[in-house]
Amino acid sequence: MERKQDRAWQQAIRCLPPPRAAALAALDGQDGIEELRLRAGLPPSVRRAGREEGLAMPPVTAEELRDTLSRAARWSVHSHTDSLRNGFVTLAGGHRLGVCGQAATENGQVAAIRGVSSLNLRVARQHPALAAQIAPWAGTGAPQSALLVSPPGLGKTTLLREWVRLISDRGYPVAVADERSEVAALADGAPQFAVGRCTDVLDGCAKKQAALMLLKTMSPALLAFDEITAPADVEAVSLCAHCGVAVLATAHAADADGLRRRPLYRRLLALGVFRRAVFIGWKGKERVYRMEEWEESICSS
Amino acid sequence: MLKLIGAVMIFGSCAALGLSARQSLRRRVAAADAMLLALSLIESEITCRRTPLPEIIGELAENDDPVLRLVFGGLRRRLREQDGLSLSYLWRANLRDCRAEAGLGAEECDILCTAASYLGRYDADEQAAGLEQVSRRLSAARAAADAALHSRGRLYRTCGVALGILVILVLI
Repeated sequence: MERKQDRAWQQAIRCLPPPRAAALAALDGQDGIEELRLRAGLPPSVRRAGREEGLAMPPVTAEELRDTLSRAARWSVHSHTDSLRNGFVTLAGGHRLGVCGQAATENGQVAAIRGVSSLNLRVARQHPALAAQIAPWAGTGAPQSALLVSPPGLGKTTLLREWVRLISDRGYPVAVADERSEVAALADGAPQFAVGRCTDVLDGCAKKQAALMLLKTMSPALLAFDEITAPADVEAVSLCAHCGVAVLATAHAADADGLRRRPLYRRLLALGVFRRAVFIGWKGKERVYRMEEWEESICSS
Repeated sequence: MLKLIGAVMIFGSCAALGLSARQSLRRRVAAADAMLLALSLIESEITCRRTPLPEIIGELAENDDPVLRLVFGGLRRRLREQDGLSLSYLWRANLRDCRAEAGLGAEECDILCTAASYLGRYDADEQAAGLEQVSRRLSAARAAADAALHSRGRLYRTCGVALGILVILVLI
């Protein structure tokens, strides 16, 4: 029986050494694979619907991990220095290779990761069907700010991408600060994911600087940021606050309570930009999306 | 008449031998110059624009210089076709395979092969330092090749002409 080939999976595993890629290319149920885990000395495993499953394959060697990282960086570590300091490399197609190993530090900051011990290849996919779910929340008038919230790996970036596409295709100019090249995955200036006909993407730029540039030059109705994870990212949102531009951003938390308990997100909510949030969670093996509207007093609490 | 034609042909062949030996020295210097230019371009692309190596190789493969087109065109083709092998391996294999055609000397080729240890493996500053060291060594080899061109080049040309005259005189 012929196996169904998933384009995103096939593209993501191209960064692996050819023998390993060939073995993984023949896996069953490729379209459900969210992540591939490679750990030195252990067989590879894949994550489907939030659960990790081991694969009956030869164990991964340290040399294989090094080779995979070199291939992912297209033999050009210098082109990925900043992202490697943050522990990842973004691949063509928006897939992300997370890197673990021994951190080499300089002045208290991570300068590089040597002695790679494990890799996490996260497969990026477009889910156009999500648009139907989002449509009522996005509304039909001018774009409104929203925060997309979930623990890691539940699909915040995918949801953000579809939200951007929906608003953009309605004719509103949308600007995306795509710091990690995961939302649009630009290649030769063209997005590899559908992000809408009125979308401008600033790729690889820190969010704060990107916000300033996009506000000044692109006149967006909606400005999208993926992953608010650092104080500088909150400053980026604060630059857009109350200046007539809606903000769409993603954040890591399990629920509204978890969001408010984190000092970083308390500062974000205190800006009063976000009056509503979409939470992503699991119900069995299915993802569920839930919208919460907030009162101003709760936002600034 | 036949003797005259024979004498001209012998003289021409011997002179061509001498001139071709001189030309190979000239090509060696030109190839070293071209590779020095390539190293400088690679270093600038890495340090100023953080350009990935496959893109730099692609740009060099379309350079006006025939030596660069030959060397980097071959490397670009290998990168496309031999995906399973590392860039370091392909860099060395390509240089050794196209050395004679490009006119590179054996010493210059060995020096350039050492660049494979730096390329793409470290951050921009470390790669630039490694490439500068390779450039310095290549410049020294180029200077030696240039000195050889000036000293032995004239000798080869003169010897070729003299040999031609000598053979004609002996045969007459």
